Amino acid sequence: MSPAVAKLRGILAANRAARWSFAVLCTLYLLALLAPWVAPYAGDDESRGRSWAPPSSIHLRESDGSWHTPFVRSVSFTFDDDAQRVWTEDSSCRYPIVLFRGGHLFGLADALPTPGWSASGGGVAPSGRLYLLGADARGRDLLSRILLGSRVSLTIGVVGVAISTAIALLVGGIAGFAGGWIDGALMRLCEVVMLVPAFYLLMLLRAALPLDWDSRVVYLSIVLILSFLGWAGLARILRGMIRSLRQSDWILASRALGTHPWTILWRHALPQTFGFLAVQATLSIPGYIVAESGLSLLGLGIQDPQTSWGNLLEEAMSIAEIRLHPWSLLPGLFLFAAVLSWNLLGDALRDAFDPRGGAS
Amino acid sequence: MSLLQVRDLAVRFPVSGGLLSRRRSWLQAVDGVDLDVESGTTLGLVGESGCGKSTTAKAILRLVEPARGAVRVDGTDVLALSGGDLRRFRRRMQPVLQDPISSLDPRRTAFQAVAEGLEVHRLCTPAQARGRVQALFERVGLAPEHLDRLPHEFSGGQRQRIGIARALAVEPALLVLDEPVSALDVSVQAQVLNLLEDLRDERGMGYLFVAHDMGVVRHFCDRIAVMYLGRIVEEGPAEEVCSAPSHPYTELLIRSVPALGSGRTTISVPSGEMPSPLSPPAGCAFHPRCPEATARCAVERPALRSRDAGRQVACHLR
Amino acid sequence: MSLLSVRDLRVSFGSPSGPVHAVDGISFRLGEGEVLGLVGESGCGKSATATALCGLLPAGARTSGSISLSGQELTVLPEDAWRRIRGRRVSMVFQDPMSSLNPLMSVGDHLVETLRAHGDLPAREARAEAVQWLRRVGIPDPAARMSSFPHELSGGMRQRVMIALALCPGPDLLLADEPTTALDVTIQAQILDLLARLRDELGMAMLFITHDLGVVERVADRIAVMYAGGIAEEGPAAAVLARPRHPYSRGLLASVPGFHPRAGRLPSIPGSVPSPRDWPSGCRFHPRCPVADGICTTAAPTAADGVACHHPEATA
Repeated sequence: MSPAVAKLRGILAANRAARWSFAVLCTLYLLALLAPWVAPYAGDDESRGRSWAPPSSIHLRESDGSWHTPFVRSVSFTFDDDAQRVWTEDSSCRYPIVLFRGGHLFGLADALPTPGWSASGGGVAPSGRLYLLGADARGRDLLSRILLGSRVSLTIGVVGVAISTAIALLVGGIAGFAGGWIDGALMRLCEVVMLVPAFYLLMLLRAALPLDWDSRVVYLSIVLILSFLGWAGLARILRGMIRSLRQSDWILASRALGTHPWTILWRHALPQTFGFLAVQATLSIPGYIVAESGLSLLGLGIQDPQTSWGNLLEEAMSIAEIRLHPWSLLPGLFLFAAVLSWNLLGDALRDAFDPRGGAS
Repeated sequence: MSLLQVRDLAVRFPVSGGLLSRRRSWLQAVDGVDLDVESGTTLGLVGESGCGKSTTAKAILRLVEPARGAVRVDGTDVLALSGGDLRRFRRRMQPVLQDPISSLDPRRTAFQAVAEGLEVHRLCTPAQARGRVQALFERVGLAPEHLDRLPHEFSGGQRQRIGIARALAVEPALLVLDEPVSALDVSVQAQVLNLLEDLRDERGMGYLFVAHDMGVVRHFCDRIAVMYLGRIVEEGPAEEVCSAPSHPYTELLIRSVPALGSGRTTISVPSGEMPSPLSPPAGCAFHPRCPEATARCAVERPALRSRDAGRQVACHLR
Repeated sequence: MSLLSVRDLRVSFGSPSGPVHAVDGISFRLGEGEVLGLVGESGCGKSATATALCGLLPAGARTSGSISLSGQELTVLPEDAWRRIRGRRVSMVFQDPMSSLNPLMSVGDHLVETLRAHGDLPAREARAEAVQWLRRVGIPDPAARMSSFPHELSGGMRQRVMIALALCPGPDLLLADEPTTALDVTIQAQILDLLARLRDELGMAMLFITHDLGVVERVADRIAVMYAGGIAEEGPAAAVLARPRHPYSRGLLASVPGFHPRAGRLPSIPGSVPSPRDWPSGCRFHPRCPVADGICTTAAPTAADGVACHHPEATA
């Protein structure tokens, strides 16, 4: 594997866009991996009294002018004359932001009373919430939901591409290498699969499946359906590549040695396609991510209470809603970052493998 | 009993007549070829591009399926074998190919390339393979330290040597060499030819040497067979065929070759080129270009007949 | 005065690991109507020389030294000045005619385009002239061939078309870079005859590049043998081939099969051609030379009397 690693390093060294993309993707995937720990709240941790709370203001100075570690205050809302929410902060106490709180990377410490505040009649301190990116309709922290949703959105592309590439390698490799009627039959199969309108099939299947299935099962079915439909185009290309590779002298030499055809296919023919496949895979992943987002947006994919970025964007579907709580668009920013990064990385890979560029 | 005996070998390729037409035409690449190669000797198969010599070589190795004919290697009919038997028999006949660039898998090291035959035929344990490949490397003139390098790190001549080592690893009796030195520089060519000659004498192999360079063939081969449009037109001892050719095409070939030492001469060569194998001329394939063609040549195809001891010509007039 | 005078020409190409010197200080002359054969193996710099002589080096290449064509210095020319030189003064024929011809243009279109680019011919006259040229290069039924496309022609025919294209503007110098290497032997002989005949008719000078010593003997008046970016030996063709003085020329000639009648082992030069990235110090040939000694490893020999060797004519 060492030449492949060396090649990757070379690509990253040469191309700044690739470096940034790689860094962004590593960050996103790392966050997705550690999401339950990094996210300050669980995905279903509601706080109905803080429905659509804006992002918390982080303060550093108390009302008496003293400096403290960053803290937030509790918020509540009232309705004004136009039936719009008006948010006010409760200055009675402050909630410092601390690291490693309650099994998460960061969170809020217990309330500390504001100096000089005289509570008029004791009582319980209001509870505090850290909404770094605001809250949704049920008062759930958007940042936490984005992080937890990234687990679905980011992996669906990788898993889907892995499955469809594996199928394409199998079908395309056998068709290209065997030729004859096997080739003909497999290619007709590809054409039939390509004819299926994926989107309608998905809607059909989703409608046919029980609505109360666990979202994770739904996730898996979506991935499987997408990848089972997506392999055909790639298989045709691979078949063409293998067909022309079959005439290469080194393959003739292996045949003359008496090597079994399966071994030749596996050892001498298919590996020549890996460079091409790396590029194809990298450029296909964004398609899967966007497809899942679209499906979840339409209610065909991940449902509440599970999260995915598409599902989160459902709450930003009208201009009115965006005006009232613009932070609900933030999952789109993450989506954009992921898709752009995969695309730029794929471009860099493709340039590196371009024969004119002097690569493999 | 000859090491290699080929009788009436024919190879044809379908040329499709379009998507809807049922009738296909055939390209007759090889049209009834007879060859014999004895152990310890080299038979040169000469001709220009399109004459079918490479296809003949591939058909003998069964890398291409012949339409008819018999190929016997060490008495065994190669064309009757199939499946595992064929794969096991392939040890006895190995190719050395022309293009040093594509004859080695670019992703496998030199060691892996040479050891493949050992592994496929289980000729030694994996532990022993390293030692064997090292010995082969040394025999063909390569440094054993370079075993784990990839093909692109070697020069053309070195890659050809790796190809030779790969063929030798399974200890074949017959080596079919398809233009093995054509893509090499002159000085490297000489080295590789010397190596091949030494190996043949050491191991008693028989060689079928396909080439278009008459100078190389004359030097290297014991006997020569000249091909034109899928047929053999002349066959005999190399030196005799080159110094006193019988067939008009052989004469043309010899005359056309710029031989060193002949000085600054203009050769008047008849114009015209080899016709396409898709539409070969009737009768003798060479008659449109032949300065001595008669009416009979345009109608009747000449058979390969023995002339003197050990020489055969396919011509009505010789 | 010589038609072409090359003095201390150096060509280097850019590469990720630094400049690669393909041609490292060669000098030669070519008179009007003379044929110089430039012979050498791969990596010796002969193709780079030809490319430099018609100004077609890639963007990252550097040249130094002087190329003087009838007194005009070519190394400093900008691209638009080169366009006036190419075709009219210097023309080139390449090895592989398939990739040198536009597959979407017919033979006639190629010729007419070239003819009209170099002279103010109206279309009809250009077409008539094109047919003449096809006849001149020996293409049968030239009028019908005008509408053929490159893929419909055989290799030999395509090369004849290339030669017609190169010669129809009437250049003083024709650069032929391995023009017959990709052709069959019998076709090669026809093309060599054709070039000789055209040279007699049109009087242009030729720089003929090849690796085939037999071919160069047939066409060249003078021969220059290149090795590792420099000229090892130069002189009249017959003399160089009959009595080579440089150890490399001698070794090269000896290793051509057919030079000696079937004599068993071929004499061969040990080792292999060094790549431009690691040329040996001193005389570049010394690691492979049978007569090399101390001075050969340290000092590069200068050309004297047509040979660049410290010990010309020394036998091992």
